[in-house]
Amino acid sequence: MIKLFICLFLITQVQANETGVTGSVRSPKECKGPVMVWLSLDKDNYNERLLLMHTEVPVQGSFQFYLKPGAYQLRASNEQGCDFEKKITVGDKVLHHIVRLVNK
Amino acid sequence: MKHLIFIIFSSITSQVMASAMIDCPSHQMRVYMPNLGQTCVTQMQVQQNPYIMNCFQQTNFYPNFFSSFPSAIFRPYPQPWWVTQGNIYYPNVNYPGAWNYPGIQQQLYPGDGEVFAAKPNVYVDSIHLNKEFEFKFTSKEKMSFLATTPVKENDTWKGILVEKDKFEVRDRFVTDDVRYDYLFYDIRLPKDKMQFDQGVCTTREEAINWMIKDLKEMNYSAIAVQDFDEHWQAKIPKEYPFYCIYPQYNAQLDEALPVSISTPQTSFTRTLYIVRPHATAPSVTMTHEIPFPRRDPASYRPATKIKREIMFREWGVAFLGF
Repeated sequence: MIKLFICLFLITQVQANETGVTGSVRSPKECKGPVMVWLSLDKDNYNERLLLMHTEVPVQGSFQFYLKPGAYQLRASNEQGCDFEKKITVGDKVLHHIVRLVNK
Repeated sequence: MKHLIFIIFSSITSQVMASAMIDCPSHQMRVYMPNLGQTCVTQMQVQQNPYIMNCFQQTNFYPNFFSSFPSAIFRPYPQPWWVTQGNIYYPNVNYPGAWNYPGIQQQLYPGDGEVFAAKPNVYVDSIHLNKEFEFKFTSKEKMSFLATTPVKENDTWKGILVEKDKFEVRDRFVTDDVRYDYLFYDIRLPKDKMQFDQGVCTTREEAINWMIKDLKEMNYSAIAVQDFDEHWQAKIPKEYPFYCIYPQYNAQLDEALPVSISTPQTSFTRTLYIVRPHATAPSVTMTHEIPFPRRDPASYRPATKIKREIMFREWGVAFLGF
């Protein structure tokens, strides 16, 4: 019983340390080149939409943002203007998203 | 003759007018949008934002006389494409993160550590092609990562060193290995494991030049230096005229964030510049959360003269959290 409790405690701790979002980038043929993935606070007002982190990812590549629980916006864009946007809510787990760029 | 003068006059006038047409009113900035071309968007209005109250202090002591000229005459430092795009969506693209002078708003980020190491990039120079490698963060203490590319598995990147500055890394989201120019992470580190005795204080421009010269003297590859220049010209805040740089090398980083690399005959040169902006010229008499640097850091650089078969090198810039 004590072992079970310790195991549950450790699992909870691991999950607590690893909240955030992982993603992998997919792109149609016409969207070439590396993709910038942006993570910001989820605010409609431009002035409050603070960018927390961003990373350049090759097509098919992956990334991870470690985040506090809360509401965020995940965006991606490349030099040609292909883009992706999604509002995400981070809880106590790591979410995974396929970042699928669209050529507008 | 009259026609010739008219044509020349018209040509000059139309160019000046074209430049003037895309000048933006105050509190707006000019950006390029693929569907609209040059357009104006609202700049960060710090008065309305409690998170970034001190972002735009009036610290521009050196106004650029030429900046009021039309863009045909005044050409600012060219921006990377992602800065232009990022400015459309975010008010703080030209900052290293959520900013509050003199550093990062740490309450918005998870984990512990007062030093926000932004974008350590890991590059490789290998004489072996297609060599398998494992790059593992081995700290026994809790590590406070903020971002990584690609995703790590058990704090490890595994893959193949394809050629100079080309990694193919496996991850659980794709069946084929994906090629990366560098490995990237953001992390929070403890301030008490960093050194604040050696460093330099100078203007913003000279600070960037100093860091680039430091990297070149440690034989970082041309692409690594170019990436550094492009990224930090954009991300080191421009409105503070002075910066103090406190370089952290292997002596500090191997203890604060130990790493093991599986390949034999391998070296790993590590550099992280902690930078602290100053609105006024810093001096030894000023008291801050970190002291004024007193010693030249050049003699504390890791030895990089000896060449190994495989040489990893990483650079990063860090800001303090408040």
